[in-house]
Amino acid sequence: MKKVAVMVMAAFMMSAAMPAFAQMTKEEKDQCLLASKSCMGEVSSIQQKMKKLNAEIKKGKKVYSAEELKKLQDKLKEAEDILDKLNTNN
Amino acid sequence: MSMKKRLLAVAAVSALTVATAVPALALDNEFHGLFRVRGIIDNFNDGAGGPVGLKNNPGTRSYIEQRARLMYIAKANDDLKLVTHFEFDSRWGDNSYGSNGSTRNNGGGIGADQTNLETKNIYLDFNIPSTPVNVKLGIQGFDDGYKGIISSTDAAGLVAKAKMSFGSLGGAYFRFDDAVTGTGAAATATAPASYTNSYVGVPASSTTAGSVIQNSTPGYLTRDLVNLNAKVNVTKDVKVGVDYYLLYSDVLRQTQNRANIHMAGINAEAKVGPATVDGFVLYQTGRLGSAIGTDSQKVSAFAANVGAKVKAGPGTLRANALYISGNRDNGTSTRNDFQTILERGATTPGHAFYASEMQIMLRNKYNMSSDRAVVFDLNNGSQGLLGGFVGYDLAIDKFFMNSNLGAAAVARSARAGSDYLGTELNTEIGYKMYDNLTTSVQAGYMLLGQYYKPANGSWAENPYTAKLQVNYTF
Repeated sequence: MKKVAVMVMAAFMMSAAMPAFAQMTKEEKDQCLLASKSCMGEVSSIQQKMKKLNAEIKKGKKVYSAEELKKLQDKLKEAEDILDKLNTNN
Repeated sequence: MSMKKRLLAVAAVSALTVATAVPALALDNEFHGLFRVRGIIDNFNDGAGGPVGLKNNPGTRSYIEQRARLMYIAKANDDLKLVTHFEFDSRWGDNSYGSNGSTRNNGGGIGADQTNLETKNIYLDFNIPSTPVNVKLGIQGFDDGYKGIISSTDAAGLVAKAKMSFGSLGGAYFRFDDAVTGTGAAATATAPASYTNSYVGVPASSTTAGSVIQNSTPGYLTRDLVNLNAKVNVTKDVKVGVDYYLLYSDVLRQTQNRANIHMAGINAEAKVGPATVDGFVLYQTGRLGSAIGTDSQKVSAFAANVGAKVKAGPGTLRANALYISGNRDNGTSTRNDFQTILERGATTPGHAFYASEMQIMLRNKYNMSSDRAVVFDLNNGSQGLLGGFVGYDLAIDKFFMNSNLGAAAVARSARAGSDYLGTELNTEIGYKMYDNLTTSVQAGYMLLGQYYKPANGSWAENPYTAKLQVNYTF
């Protein structure tokens, strides 16, 4: 029984440690903005989202690959389009 | 390990597996929206849409409108999301409890309770796995690539776009109308006025106005728009797009030949030093609908635009010129007026040219239920338009100011006398209270041109407008 308890505890610790580990290795990357992952609890206004995207894009190639930067730029364009659609009469 | 312990271990691992799997299945919920209130004082708006009815003594109107838009996006992951967008419009004091028999644009009367929810967009946005193709399927807005002069509206359809190494390839299909009138007593219905307007391929001067539609078969009497497009990134700073559009209508096929309007267009955008220059040329050909047994009128029309934006001093200078071809005699075999898309009523156009930033002469991007303009439909009663617009945007700390000057004439007219429609000067001065809340004062004045010179009697009063606006977006 002790072995089972240790196994379960270890498994829990590993599962809890995984996201932290992922964040530690890529702490500069915002996975929520980049890939819509780990967005739990994130409620951003469209302006906040645009600010965050701009901040991430500014980090440039030190943090993101060219492909990832393009993805972030596309998301910024998408957010700008949403703001435009909200504001514009049609 | 006993059987009981093994079962316990399996159960524990299973529970962990489920627990770690749940976040992957969770939706990313996005909520966005708009709330806008406008106090309006002017001499041409009346809470509705349509062209301005210029009068000698129109009187002053003062009232308040509000609009709320709510957008909810259910994002399963980066490749799949459902986009929904709803709208609620009211004029303060207008109606409540549905007592005027109308639903939309209501609910600002005492008591307020009103069913006034409007659907703007409901569509699925997804990427096809292992391909570069994105698809948007359902009721949605559509970026026409021509600053909105073809389509600046919401409609049901499918838009597909594939990212390519050189730019993109795309296609779109929209069903604008499917004229089913029901069965029994409802099977005979008089066509809405717009079904006989030129946009649907039937000349407005035709004798078919008020045609009767009898139909209970979906998909039989339709108006559709088809688009094929390609965009090429010539260099990092130069982008060129080409399009083919087909506007097709057989809504009046029981009495009319179908209308086919083909459009070929090219648009471009380039960064030249500190300036961004863009523009387009669109050519239309095809045939308008006509009574069966008669010759359809041919269409040969075009539209063109050039625009520029450049940093100048502490602000940004903007300029746009627009040409929409017109027609002098609608009785000839060929029509040269650019065929525009209207919705189902003459008060609801499906197109706009918001880049002009006019408040009176052309439709303004901030308009809500009050949506009148001197040139409301860019076809402009078959006369077309030639306009030039310049503006300057300035932002100092939390204050901002956008000022615009525009002048326009009809492109071609059968009328004797001047083609000059007039000159508009307008400005918006605002203050950003928060990142997402702005208040502003907008004012505009249009000096009517000689086009409106009366044959006798008094001139119509020059239109003016003043608005106080509170705008919250999130």
